[in-house]
Amino acid sequence: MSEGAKQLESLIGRGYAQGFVTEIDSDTVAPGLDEDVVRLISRKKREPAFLTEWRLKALRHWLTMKEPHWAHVRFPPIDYQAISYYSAPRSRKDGPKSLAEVDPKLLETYEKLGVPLHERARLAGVAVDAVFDSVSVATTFKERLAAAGVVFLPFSEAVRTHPELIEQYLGSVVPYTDNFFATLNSAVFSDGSFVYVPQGVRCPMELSTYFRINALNTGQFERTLIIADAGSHVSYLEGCSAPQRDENQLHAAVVELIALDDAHIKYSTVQNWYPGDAQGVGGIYNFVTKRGECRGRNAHISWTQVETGSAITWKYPSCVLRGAGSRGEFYSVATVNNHQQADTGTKMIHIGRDTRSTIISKGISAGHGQNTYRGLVKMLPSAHGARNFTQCDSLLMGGQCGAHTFPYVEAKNPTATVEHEASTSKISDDQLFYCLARGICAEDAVNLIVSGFCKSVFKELPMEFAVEAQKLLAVSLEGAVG
Amino acid sequence: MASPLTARIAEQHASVARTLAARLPGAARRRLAMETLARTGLPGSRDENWKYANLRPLERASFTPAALTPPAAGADAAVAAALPPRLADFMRYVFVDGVFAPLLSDAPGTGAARVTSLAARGDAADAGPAVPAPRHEPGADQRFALLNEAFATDGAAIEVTAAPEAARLELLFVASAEAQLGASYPRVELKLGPAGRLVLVERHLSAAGAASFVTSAVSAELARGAALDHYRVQELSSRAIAFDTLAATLAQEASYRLHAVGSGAAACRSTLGVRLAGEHARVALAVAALGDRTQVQDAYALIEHLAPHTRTAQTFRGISAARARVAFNGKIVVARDAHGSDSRQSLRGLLAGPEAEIDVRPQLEIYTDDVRCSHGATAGKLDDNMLFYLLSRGLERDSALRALKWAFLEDVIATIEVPELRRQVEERLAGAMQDGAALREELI
Repeated sequence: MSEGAKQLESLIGRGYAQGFVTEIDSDTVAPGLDEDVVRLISRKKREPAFLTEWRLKALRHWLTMKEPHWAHVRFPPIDYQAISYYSAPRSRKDGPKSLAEVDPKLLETYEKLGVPLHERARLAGVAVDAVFDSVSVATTFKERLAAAGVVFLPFSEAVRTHPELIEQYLGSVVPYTDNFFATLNSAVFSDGSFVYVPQGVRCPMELSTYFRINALNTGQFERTLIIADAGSHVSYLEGCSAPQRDENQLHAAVVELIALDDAHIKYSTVQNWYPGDAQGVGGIYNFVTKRGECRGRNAHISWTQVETGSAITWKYPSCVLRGAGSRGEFYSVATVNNHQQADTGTKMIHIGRDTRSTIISKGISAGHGQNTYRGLVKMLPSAHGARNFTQCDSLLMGGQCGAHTFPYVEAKNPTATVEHEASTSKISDDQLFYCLARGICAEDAVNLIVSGFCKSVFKELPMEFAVEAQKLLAVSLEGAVG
Repeated sequence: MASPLTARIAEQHASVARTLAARLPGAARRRLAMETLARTGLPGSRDENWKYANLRPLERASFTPAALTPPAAGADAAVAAALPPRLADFMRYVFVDGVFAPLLSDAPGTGAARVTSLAARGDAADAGPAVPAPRHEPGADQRFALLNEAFATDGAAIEVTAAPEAARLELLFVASAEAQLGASYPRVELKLGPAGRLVLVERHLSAAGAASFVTSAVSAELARGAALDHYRVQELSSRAIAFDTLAATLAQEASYRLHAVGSGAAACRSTLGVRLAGEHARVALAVAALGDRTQVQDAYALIEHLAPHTRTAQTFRGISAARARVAFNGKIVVARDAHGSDSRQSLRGLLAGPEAEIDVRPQLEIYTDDVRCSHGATAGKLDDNMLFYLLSRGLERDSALRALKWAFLEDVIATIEVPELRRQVEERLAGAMQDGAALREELI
């Protein structure tokens, strides 16, 4: 083991920088799940009848389902009846009319996280719909967005202001019967973001939501719905971090994207939930269903994700390419260290003719981490002239980790082309030696090599995200080489 | 809880258990296989590794063995007519519906390779299991091998010792019975001693276009430094249903080369499991599959790197025409101790029909960092540029397409080092490509 690596060992122990808990009163429903709880959630949020009914249908279906175990991850059984399915910050009850009315403790939390609210929001040019546990507490830049006609609201508010859009689009990409966790989410989803970009509008700013899990034992069930009408363009940023805690927390979100003719949705994620400590205790279970549908001609959906957190990640942002000439993209960097497990990838379902998709996936495994890429590329008989290119590379650091690649290629159209390539290797000793010989310390050398490995994904991220992502990656891999 | 299918298998097994016991040693092993099968059941289409296979024919299949005794003299005229020309320097052994046919075969060899009929081996073989105990981990699915073990009426036991020249054997498995009359269970138990060398041709064919139900099992143990060149040709009739399972274990420095070409059967599924258990063991897998009409050609290959410095090279080329489905699932596992391992996978499928389907799954499961693994997979049509090149040089469209498909399969066919065998395989494939009108059509 090199001297530099030994020094790095000490850095592994460094605590989770974002691990702090804000103590505020939460209005939390007692643990357990039945129809009454679902009705209660729906009533608390003053939802229309169709939504209550939809939730109940989901719950009834969920009760017939079994927890899936095909993913390459291991976790102790989850007691779904021990989870509290609703938690709202107390201050929400009185309904803050402006930032000044928002609980100062909350604002403090955002401050620590670096959420650009308030003045900082203006400087950063980002509109923030900050989700604190389950209810959105503050939304900024409404006016500017409203001027452009863009609807960017907490989901629960959109239900009241735009019920017709919700009724039309909710569950149209991820139906309530989709999978175990999505169905659970459909029954109990708490809040999330709703975006509607009208025809021909280019959203004047990047939309951003910070998610944050706070109250103990409160699963978060975000529901995000983004609709880009014909010819519109929107870029959406999602970032996560969570306070340090020893209890595993379940996070089962659903994200639905709908792109109509010539619309473009870019969805970027930096995921940094609490990964558990070095012994694998604690950490977030991140079981997420993300799917976008290119419903119109030449629509374009692009997923970019940097996954550095969570004890377990189970996530496959997918594209259904229905419209002719539509395009799907998936760029991903997934890192596991210590005892983290990730089973992530994408699905590209080609239905329309001349549809194209690109998948670039970079997996990094360190410590005892297990990283899996699982992807499906499916060419249906109607997908004339469709094309896919997939590249998934894995980097291994240390002899105890694992890197797995499980791609599926299913082609049913003779004019469609699918290409997949993958490689797995460790950081080459030559590269490392080269850097060390030039006076770069081991830690920097590894960071340099890793960020080179991930470059093709980082360049897809919006600039401020790219910087954050690179930093996160460096922190999460500290001391991984030795 | 036993499914109706499993219950039916158990019932049919009970009805023949006594007859089998009278003919063949190993009653205890058969009983164990049957018990395990009753517990696990046969795979279903919801099993992740079986989703591309056609398992529907099992619902109406009869599992009782078609033949218990060798074919009588004269009864095998139809079988004799189905046999391909002999390969020079190869000893030939013929099995009809899984039962050794001495009249069509050479005398048991006296050289480095000893071939025995399992039925003729006597009770001595009952002392210990001739094959490694069947494994039931999710990865290495041996369930059809258990079915074979439970019902097999005969088979070939082959032992090879070191010799200056590699031994050469040709095993022909002829399926002659219609499925409703009973199934056929070809079985090979192969042992290569230290530095033993063998060139083995294993061929499956049909007599008179019979719609047979064939479940074969091959096990191979390669001791230190042994080398096996295994040619597997599946040319069953287009109405036959075939399931085969191959399990090979390699000790230190052993080398295994498997060349498989499958073009027959209505539905065929191959399950291959290779364990690289000794240092510097290496395996090369070259598989070609041709699907036409509504054929389903499915193969699953699991290669486990369990020791340091082991190597794998895997090549798959599949052509799917008309409404056929050709699938290949290649999984490579590198265990924690298998540092210095190297694996290459190249899986390519060619779609040559309007409703054809190609499914490829190159999978890597790696538990150590000191490895080099890569894989590539493609599915699509022939390269337009190559076609244009040939057309611009005056080739007919049909011959240009054929030449390109030929070249596509060449990566596998070229690995066949027995010239006559290669010629026979090429002729069969050429025939399939020529009369399979579907292979010509729809290529843009």
